[in-house]
Amino acid sequence: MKTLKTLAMIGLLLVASLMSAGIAQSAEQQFAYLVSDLRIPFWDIMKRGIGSRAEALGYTVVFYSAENNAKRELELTARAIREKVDGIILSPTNSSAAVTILKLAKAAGIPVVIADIGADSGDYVSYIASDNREGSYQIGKVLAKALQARQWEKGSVGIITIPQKRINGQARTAGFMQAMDEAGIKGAGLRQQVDFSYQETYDFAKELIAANPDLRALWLQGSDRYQGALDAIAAAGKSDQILLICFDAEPEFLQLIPKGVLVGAAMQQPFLMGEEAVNTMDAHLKGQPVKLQQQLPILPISTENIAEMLPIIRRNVLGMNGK
Amino acid sequence: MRIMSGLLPSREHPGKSLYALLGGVIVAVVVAVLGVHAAYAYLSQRQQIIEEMKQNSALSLVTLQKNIIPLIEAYAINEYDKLLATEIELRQHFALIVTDLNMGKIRAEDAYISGKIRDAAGGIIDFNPHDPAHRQWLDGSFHSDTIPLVAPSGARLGSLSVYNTDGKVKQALNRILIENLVNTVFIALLLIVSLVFAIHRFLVRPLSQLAAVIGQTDRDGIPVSPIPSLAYREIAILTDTMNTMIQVISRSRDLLQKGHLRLQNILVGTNIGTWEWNVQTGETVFNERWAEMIGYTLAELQPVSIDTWLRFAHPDDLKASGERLEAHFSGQVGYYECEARMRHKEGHWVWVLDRGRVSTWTAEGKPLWMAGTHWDITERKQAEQTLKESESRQRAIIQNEPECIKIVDAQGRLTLMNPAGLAMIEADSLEHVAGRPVIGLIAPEYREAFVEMSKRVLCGESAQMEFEIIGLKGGRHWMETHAVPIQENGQRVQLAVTRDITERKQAEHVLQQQTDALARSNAELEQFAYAVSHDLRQPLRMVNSYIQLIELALADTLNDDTRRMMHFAVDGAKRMDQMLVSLLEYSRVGRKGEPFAPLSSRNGVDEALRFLAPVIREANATVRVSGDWPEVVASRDEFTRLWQNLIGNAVKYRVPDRAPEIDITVTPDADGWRFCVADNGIGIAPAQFDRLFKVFQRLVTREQYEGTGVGLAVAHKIVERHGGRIWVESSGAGLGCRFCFNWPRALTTAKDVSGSTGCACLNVT
Repeated sequence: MKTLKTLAMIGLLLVASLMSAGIAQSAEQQFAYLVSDLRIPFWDIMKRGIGSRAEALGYTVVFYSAENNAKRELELTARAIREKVDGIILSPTNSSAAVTILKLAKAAGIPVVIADIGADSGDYVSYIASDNREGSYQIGKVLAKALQARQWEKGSVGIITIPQKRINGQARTAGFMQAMDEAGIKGAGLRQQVDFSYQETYDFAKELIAANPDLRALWLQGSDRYQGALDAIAAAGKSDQILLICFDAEPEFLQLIPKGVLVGAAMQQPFLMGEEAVNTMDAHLKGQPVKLQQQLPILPISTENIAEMLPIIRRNVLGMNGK
Repeated sequence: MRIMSGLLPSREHPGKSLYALLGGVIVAVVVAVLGVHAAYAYLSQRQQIIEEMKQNSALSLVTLQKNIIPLIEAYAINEYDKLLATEIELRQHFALIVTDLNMGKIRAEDAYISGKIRDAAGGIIDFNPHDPAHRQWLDGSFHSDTIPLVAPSGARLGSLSVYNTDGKVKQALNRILIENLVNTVFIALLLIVSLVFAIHRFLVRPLSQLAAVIGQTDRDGIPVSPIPSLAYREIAILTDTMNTMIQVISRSRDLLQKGHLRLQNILVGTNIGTWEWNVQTGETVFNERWAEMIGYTLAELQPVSIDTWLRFAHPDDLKASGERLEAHFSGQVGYYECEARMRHKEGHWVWVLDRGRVSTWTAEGKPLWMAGTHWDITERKQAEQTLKESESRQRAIIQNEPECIKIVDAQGRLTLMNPAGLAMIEADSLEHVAGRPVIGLIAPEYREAFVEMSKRVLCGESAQMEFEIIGLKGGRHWMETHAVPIQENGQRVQLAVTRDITERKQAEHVLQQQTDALARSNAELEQFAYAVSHDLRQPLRMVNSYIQLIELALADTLNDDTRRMMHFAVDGAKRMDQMLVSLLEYSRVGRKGEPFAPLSSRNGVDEALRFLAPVIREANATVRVSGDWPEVVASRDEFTRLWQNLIGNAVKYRVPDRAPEIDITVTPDADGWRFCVADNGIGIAPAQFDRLFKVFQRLVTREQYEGTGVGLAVAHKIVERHGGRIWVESSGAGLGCRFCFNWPRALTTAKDVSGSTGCACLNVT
């Protein structure tokens, strides 16, 4: 708990310092935020963080949502380049597409700060991402604690993952498994999401439950399809025998976690990440050194700490306090 | 006889080494083949590399085309860039360039050109179409190919190009060159070593062994040992064939040597000189013997020619020689043969038998080369001369021989008879009886025996026969003939020498009549002696008995004189009886004895010693018997009696006060055995030897030694009856004596030896 408070304090201090620094920034310069799909809450929250911070610093931000379409993403990139923006904050549709964007931006001499989804290669100013490994490790410890509290530590834990070719997917799995290993809890196998659909999540959960009679928990490396997993557990008649824990957060989690429907969730801070992207670009444009890699903490929220962490969650995770 | 000249050392052959030659050929061939192969492989691989490069490029294009089109359509620039990076790395292209029309539209350009290219260090970098260096690199590429990129809908998406430099080709070719070189060298070495080893192991070594064996040759260069059979069929066929050839050559050589040796032996053995003469040129060749016959060495006669012959030949013989040569040259006779004389170095003449034949003729039919022999027949000529003289002498002897000399052929016909013989058979001339069977002259009662004798002679025996002939004029004559087989004209005939023995036969007839009369007289005398000795003893015993009865009856009336006279009468009667007994014993020899039979001579001696044992003990005599005692044929009791008499004599006639020492011995002699009894007795004066074996002959007085004087006569008679001879040896009175008799080795009786007749014919066999 002390650690969470420390993390929250760091975030708040960071926001405050950035906000104060941005006051003196000229508003003549223009950014472009190339994002994969603003229809996704996570990106929308981040957009708000970017917009909030850019406004504070006097920058104009043009938001380009590719609607998860590569062609559109490239077209928007080309448009941004043609409009000769001063910088691009990039949350690409995928790390491969980012490479082309970086290449085009580089050719046009436009600096790029990447937020959350990285690039397979290419030149950029900085890459800001959540600390997926540490966050997963912490949420793993939350789950271990919950299992131990129920004396279910002899049972196994199944994982429904995001694609493991993604770096953040690999980091999430590694951190979580470390916590399981340390607690002596065995894994029950994993299933990788492909289309991130409800049905897919439901089916994977059902398979894991059926294949592992001793299954005591499911960890979902995402948040939006948590209902599929819950429904599968309920369909198996094991609602009181199998715990569910998630990554990221949905607004309803603020009710589900306290109710114990969810044991907890590892919550990224997209609003904070958007603010940090603007701060980094600002620093770069001002000729200040920036770190090439930046990792933001993930909040391990459980039934026990959600009440305490709720202000930070509302702002940095859900963007409720931002613009 | 095979002449083996011994082993010769292996010869050094100056020729080239097959091993080295094959090795050189192998090296050259392997190097040439592999070199050509390497060059061909290099060129073909170069072409193959280029083809592979093109195929590789085409394959890359096709593969990428399939994968890139959807990526272009999906605007996944980086994805197809990654494919290009992977492909360029995988297939070692120089550059892969994509012209993306879709992306070009997005960027408001004709096309978006991207791709991967290798920098100077070979690293893969992003292609920058605006970089002149990149363009220059592409322009300098060795090979390029482009394929259009078309969407399934038919929309043109752009193109894909692949570029390859010859650097990779060169690198690959260098590698191939090095690999080929290394492989070629390695394979060449391997092949060379393998082939050289194989050739050495399977060809050269067997051939070397073969050469080593056949290199061990005798003086004629023929291998002395058979070539061992080798494991490899082809070599084995060679060795077997060579062995067969060697055997054939050896046999041929042996046969040739034998033939040559035989010829040499014949020449040496027959001591024949040889000559060869070129009739047309006069050139001649003589052997050493030719010259040696006339006392020269061939060197002394050099130079030789036909004139050499003419110079040494007897002038009187040249004509005959020339005539016979012409007869041969003209074909009248198949051979030239002539006996001629040649002057010896020492001046005398040597007879030679000169024989020969023309061996080659000229095309015109003239004699060219003629070869022949000279045979020294001087001795034969001399022998012929001697024979002629001898025959002349023999003829004279035969003609003048007083006895009949005749030759009768195998059919019993008379072929030759001298005048004396013709006279015996009362023939006037040889022609009168020649060719007539001689059996007709033989008196009929002898013909069968005569024919039998003739058969024996014709079978090779010598024979003798007495028979009577009836002369042509009727005269009967006794003949004694000695016939021997001789060869005449290749047939066995009888040569007989016959003498007229009519007078001798007549004398023998008279003598036989006398002998028969004497035998009858002897027999009667023996019968008389037996009868006297036997029959007289009875009245003598009556006389003796009655004299003793008279002496008893008149004992009181007899005075000393009459008593002494009576005693003389009794003593005389007793002595007479003893004499009669002895005489009877003597007469019984051959009359009452056991038949002849084989017996142990030692048993005879031992039996006699047993009979004499009391006497021997009384005399304290020592008797030693020695020698290897044979088995003899004798009448057993007479043989024992013989020993009793001789040993008894030795004991009896001892020197007073000297213990007798008697040695009884036997030794083999020419016809049988010699038995002796030697003593140390009183001995005998040699002058008395003749009397010793006669009946009643005594050399000492009766007062000195008892006896009748018949013992040695009996011994004599026994020995003679058995075909032996008895005698005595002594150095004189007091010096002992030795009686010996010899005994034939075996006896056969011509008549019954049962003793009934007392007459035995003894033959020594």
